[in-house]
Amino acid sequence: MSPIQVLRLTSSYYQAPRDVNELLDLLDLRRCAKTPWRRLSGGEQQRTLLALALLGRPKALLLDEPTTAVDPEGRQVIRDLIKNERDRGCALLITTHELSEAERVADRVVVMNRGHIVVQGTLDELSGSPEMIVEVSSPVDPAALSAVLSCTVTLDGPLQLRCDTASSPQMISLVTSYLNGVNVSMTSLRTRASLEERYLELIGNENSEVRS
Amino acid sequence: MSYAIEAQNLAVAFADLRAVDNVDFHVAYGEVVSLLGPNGAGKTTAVETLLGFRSPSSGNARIHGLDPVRDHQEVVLRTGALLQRGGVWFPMSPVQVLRLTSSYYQAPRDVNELLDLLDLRRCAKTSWRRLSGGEQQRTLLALALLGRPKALLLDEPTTAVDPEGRRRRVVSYVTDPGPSTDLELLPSSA
Repeated sequence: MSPIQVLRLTSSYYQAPRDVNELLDLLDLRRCAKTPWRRLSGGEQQRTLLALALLGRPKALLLDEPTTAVDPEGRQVIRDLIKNERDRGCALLITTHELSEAERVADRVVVMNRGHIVVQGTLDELSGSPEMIVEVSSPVDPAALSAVLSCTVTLDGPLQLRCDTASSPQMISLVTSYLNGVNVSMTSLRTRASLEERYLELIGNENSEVRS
Repeated sequence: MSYAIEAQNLAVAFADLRAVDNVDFHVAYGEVVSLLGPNGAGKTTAVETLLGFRSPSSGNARIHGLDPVRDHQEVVLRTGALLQRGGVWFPMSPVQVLRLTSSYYQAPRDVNELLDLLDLRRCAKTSWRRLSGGEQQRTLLALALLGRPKALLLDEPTTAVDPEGRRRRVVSYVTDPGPSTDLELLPSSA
């Protein structure tokens, strides 16, 4: 069967299905609408299955790795669709192992590992408070930098400092001036721990606890 | 407050493995929640349980406030799903897919006759994903026979079919289709 055939057949099971042509356009399936299933690309198959999931105007959608095997263009089509469905009041539960996908579409994230929930919350909650992470060429005194910035500064490693403050041009200027004064170079500056760092940290901690 | 999707202390175990271990989360209407984790985290098992394709070992799964096992049909009708191991027939049953496919033929064989012939009557209304491997295989064979074919090419037709009478039934049919059919050619690995 082709996408248009399976969509038309499946639509006959619903009392008030969505329009098949509308779904073909929405999922960018028009060009392959009459292509047999076996000749569709992985992304086209995935988008056809997603169109099937939408046929009955569901108020809840459960999507298991919806962007897997989908090219970047197709991914954007699916992301737009997820946002549209949310805006019309649909509840969406989307599994993914790709952080970037969760960051792009989710209002909240539930992190699972080895069967249980590690943490859940909004993206901001999971990413933590705003931070500046400064890497330097030689060791510096965190207490001295803390006094300059008026915030807590801790050592993540011998050459990495974590400053509990949002990065602003003023703060960056203060750090640069301080380091110049003690003849130390800044080798990198990150504005805060990304969700990816937080995620890897959480999963890494879990896995090392299991091993130990 | 009733959420659209809810897992309450949900656990799913396979033998010694707790694939889902007492998880609690919910999704409200108009909200996107991402279940994020590495391979083997239990995400797919959680989703399949929420849809009623697996039964919880303990705890509750709810969609629209309904029990997805007890109220499976209504949950499936009111919920869209995209599953990794899904197919285009999900969530059709043997009788549904046979009736649908028969509409493509001008003179199809009778669906009820095929259900009896392949011993599919008892699972005729079971959704595809909940059929055993043998029941799926016999449904596929029924589909192959729908259009009264003059030739059949069967690739391992008894694979996954249980060794009871059903396997004999498949083999006996393909080796002796009977006087009512006009089957002439049977390249088969049976």
